[in-house]
Amino acid sequence: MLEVSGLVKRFGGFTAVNNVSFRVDQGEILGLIGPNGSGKSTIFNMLSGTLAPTSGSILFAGYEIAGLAPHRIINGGIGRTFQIPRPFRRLSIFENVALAGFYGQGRHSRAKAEEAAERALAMVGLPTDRHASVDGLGAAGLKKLELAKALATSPKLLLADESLGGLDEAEMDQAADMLRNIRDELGITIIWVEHIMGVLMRVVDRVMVLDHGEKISEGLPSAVAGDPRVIEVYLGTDAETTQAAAAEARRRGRPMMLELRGVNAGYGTFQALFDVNLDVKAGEAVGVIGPNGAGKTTLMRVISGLIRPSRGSIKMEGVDVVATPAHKIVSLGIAHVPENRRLFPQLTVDDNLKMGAFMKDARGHYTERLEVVFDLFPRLKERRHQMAGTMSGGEQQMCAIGRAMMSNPKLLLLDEPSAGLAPVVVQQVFELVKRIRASGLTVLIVEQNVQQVLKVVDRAYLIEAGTIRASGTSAEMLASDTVKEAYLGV
Amino acid sequence: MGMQAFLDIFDIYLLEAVINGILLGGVLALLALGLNLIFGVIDVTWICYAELVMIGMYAMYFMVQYYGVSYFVSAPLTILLVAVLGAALHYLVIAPLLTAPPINQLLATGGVLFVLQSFATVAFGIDFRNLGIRLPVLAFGDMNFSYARLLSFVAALVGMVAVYLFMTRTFTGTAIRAISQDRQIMALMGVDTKRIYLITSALGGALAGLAACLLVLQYDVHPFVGLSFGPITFLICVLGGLGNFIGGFIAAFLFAEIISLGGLFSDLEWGYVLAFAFFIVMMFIRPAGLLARRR
Amino acid sequence: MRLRMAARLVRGLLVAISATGLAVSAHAQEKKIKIGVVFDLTGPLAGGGSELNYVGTKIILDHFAKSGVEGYKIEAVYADAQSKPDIAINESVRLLEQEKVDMVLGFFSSAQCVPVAARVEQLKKFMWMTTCISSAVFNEKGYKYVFRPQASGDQFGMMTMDFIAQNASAKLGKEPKDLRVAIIHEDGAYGVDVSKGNEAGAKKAGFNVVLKEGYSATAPDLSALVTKLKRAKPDVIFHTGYNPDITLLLRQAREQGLKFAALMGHGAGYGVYEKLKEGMGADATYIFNADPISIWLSNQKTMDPKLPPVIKMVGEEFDRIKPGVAIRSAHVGIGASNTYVFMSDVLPRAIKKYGGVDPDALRKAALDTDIPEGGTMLGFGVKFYGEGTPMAGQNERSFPVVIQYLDDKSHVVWPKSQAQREAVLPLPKGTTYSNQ
Repeated sequence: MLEVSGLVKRFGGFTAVNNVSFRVDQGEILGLIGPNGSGKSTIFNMLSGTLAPTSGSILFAGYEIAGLAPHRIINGGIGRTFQIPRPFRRLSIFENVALAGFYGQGRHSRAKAEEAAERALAMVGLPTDRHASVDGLGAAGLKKLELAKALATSPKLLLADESLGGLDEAEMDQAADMLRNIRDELGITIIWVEHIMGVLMRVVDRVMVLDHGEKISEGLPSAVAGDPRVIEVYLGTDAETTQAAAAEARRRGRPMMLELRGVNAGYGTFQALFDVNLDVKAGEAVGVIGPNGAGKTTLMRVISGLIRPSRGSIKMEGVDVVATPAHKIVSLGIAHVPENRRLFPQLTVDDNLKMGAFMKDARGHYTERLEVVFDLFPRLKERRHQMAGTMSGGEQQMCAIGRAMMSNPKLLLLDEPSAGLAPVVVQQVFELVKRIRASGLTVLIVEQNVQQVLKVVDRAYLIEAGTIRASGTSAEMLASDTVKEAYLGV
Repeated sequence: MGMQAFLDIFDIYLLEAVINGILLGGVLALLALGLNLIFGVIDVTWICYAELVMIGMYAMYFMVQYYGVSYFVSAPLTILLVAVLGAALHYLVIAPLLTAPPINQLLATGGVLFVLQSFATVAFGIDFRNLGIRLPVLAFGDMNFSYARLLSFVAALVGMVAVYLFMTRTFTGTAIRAISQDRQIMALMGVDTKRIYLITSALGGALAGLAACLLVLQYDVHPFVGLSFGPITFLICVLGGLGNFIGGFIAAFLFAEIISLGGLFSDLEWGYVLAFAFFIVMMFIRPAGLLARRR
Repeated sequence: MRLRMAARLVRGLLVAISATGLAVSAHAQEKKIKIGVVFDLTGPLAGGGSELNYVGTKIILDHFAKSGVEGYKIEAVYADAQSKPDIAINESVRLLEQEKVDMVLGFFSSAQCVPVAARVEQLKKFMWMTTCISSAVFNEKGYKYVFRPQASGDQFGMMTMDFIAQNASAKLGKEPKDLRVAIIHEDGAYGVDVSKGNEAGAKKAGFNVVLKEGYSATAPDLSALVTKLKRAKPDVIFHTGYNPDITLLLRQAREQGLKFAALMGHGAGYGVYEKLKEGMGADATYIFNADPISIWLSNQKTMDPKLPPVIKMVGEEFDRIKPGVAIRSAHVGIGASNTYVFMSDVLPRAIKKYGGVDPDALRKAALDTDIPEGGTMLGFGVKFYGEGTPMAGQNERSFPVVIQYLDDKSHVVWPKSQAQREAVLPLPKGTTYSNQ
């Protein structure tokens, strides 16, 4: 049905997909997995026509589709869902799906579109009532809608992009079953990209694993999960156990810095954290690992006060900060480097750093702190008059960390410092984290990149679906079956 | 013949019109300065901005005419008063609506516009009031220029430089620029966003107050004086790019020159029509403002 | 519980309705004329003279309300047009249809009276315009129920031109063809109307019109217009505008050094000397203005002897309402005199001769009006152009006068029959705008 050979995609000098070949047979479910930035979405974008391949061929039902416009590919029978659902909020659920059917089938028949919409909605279990509003849908509902839209285009091949992100466990199972039903009942072939391996492994027929744009493993789920190269990619094997042991020795007798007890938190009716307990001692580096949507970012936001916990206590050096507004928590010595860096893109590097020293106490030490940051990141000094938004991803991460360090914090919260960066840069970022550690700062770091993070932290927590599942030293975590299961689904 | 035609167009009056355009540009630039600040930072449109200027003009009028306070004492008091008004406007009207759709904020400040107009009508009556200060005139040969306009021009320049220095050199100024780019994470820098908004609003009000002090030298005060300035001030801010001070400055002078030269070569009415037509064309060519970077 | 409340509400409503019904029928039995009065009490026109007209009108209506007219009670209902034409229309219709007034009276701005007249005529109701001067109201419209004792706009523009034409060679030392005149005006119905009279007058007199231009009354800058005036070098400027555009123009004229021999204003903003003085100080002196004569200035020797006491009464009432005004504005007198004509002449005739106050009775009574010159407080007589004439409804005997502001007073200088003193023309040497 689909035959991909020698697929390459380069962005400038960076090769996102390097010579990947694979085939998908009629009626098969192929799982496509790999860590962040391994090239999964790039492949999807090439299959659906959003990106044109640099070289290679994509044969779909015998026809070459590489480089065709997206609407021609969709009309040809390849449907796709998006990681982040984008429904038309003003339209009803039915209209959303019917619209996809109307244009996606390429036939522009209203009757056919409505028929397809009814079928698709019934399939995913959404109301076929014509007036039901999109606003009532939760995360799971939106994912279903996304799926229904793709189905309404009557695809022969369905590309499902991270259909599980943001769902709880029961919803994940439900979604996985649904994909299986779609294949079984409608005979639609599926390629499914996912971060979370556990559920995926149970449903797919075959798995293909990508890392750094290359295919490193392919086969039956059970075989792939046991492949040493896959384990290496996901968990790493060369954690410096000796270093960890030394740190453990240092750790004892250190005073407690951050202490979370029974913390519950969420957004509106959606609860993201359940009874989280977590300790960080002075001088320690602690990691929090876990798949996408496990609640890692929420955890960071709760600590820095951006979200109020609904229950539980958070103490910074013995002071309860649950009721303290975020802008005052900073003065207690907590600096938060947010996910995706969140620099002020149209301010210079200097001005960004200046904002980090906004607090009254920090302003007096502005020049000293600037020197400390420039010592740590000489690159920032070179770029100080450049607009932050025009720098490379790695430089931006430096700037974000530098900005947080301007307030002279005791505890640095790092939220996914490697997210969205090229593999080489990821390496650099973890080097940075090591240097910060060495400067004696206490660090709490949240990461998906288990292999890398376990190399730089003393201890780590595994969080899944908002609950702490395991904790221990880096070495213990590496050996842990719970961690393996969370990432590999075995 | 050619020479004569040339002299018919490029006479001393053309020069006078050009310079008058620049001076009018000063007035408009001064008005746009404060509005631009609010526009750019809080992302909220103060439809009632010109009405704040109107209240400031009344304050000047009453202090100078009724209570005999000197102009130079009244001016800082007026600036302070309008600054407080600006902060109050934010605190009472904008802040509760910050997360509401923009149209609600627009309607709310539009409501304030009518409230202020009606307030002025009830409190001060519908009479046109004139400060009665007549500044001398500057003459260069056949050309004459208004002192009052020169003063607003200089004030606009000084105000612009002062705002620029404040925005780039101080922590608070930098925070004002930063907050317009990412409101949510400001708290992570230890910045109390509410306070910054309040400061920005007061600053915007203060600039409206400054404009009032200078406009009152050139125009009569009445409850509807805002109608003469409000719309054109908005167009200038939009043309210059919302929140772009230098863009707003340039747009003010462009507009003023089009009005002035268009008025000289054709009917005065056509000067305004041309200015608006120019605005519409520019909105197609550069929808994000004169100085916006192309994306 | 809720039901009982609803029942009580309904019962209350029924009682209220029947009570009003009773009141209405009771009213119907007593003889009364209900007059809707529309002026601008807010907005820019209010300060431009509309409110003063309202004051003058109200003084007269209150006066007649004390005694009633021919056994009819007088009840006035006042509405604010807010300086907006659409509000003026809506308020007039509301007064006629909901307040059930028998007629509407007033109207300051030409932008309002033109559409309102069309609407009222359509409704076949009676309208008495006291103030607005637009010629366009009547021009070839053939209205039956709309009347105006006030002079029309083109009469204003012709009057000032006539004044300059008669004085050009004697005072300015120029032949008409050598006299450079500029006609500038705000571009609303009022300014355009007057400027047409100016133009016709200039053509008749043979003047050299060097500039004719309109501008918006809300324009924030008029310097380009001033520059053009400087380039055109007119001897006399004929200007029609409201306040504050007059102040802005004259201020920018001073700042840019515009010089001329005379400035002729045409009512509206030029009729309010107080404001001219406040904005321009001493430069307000020597300005000419064409307006209906102020009732305080009209020639009482040639006037119907029953009128001077009325003028005195209006003056005293006005001083009571607005104390401390240096020159009582002509606007008060316009409102007062033109309302007085209706109350003292038209209304009694309608009741006595035509048996009531319905639109047709009022219309017939108005068409019978024949007041000779000197028969109104404003000096002119009243006779309306009849049906079938191009200006049907307009007073054919009205005329404005040219006054000049001197020593903080206004003096009638034209026409000769009303003149109180010789005009100062051209502007004396040494004054701000003088080109001598």
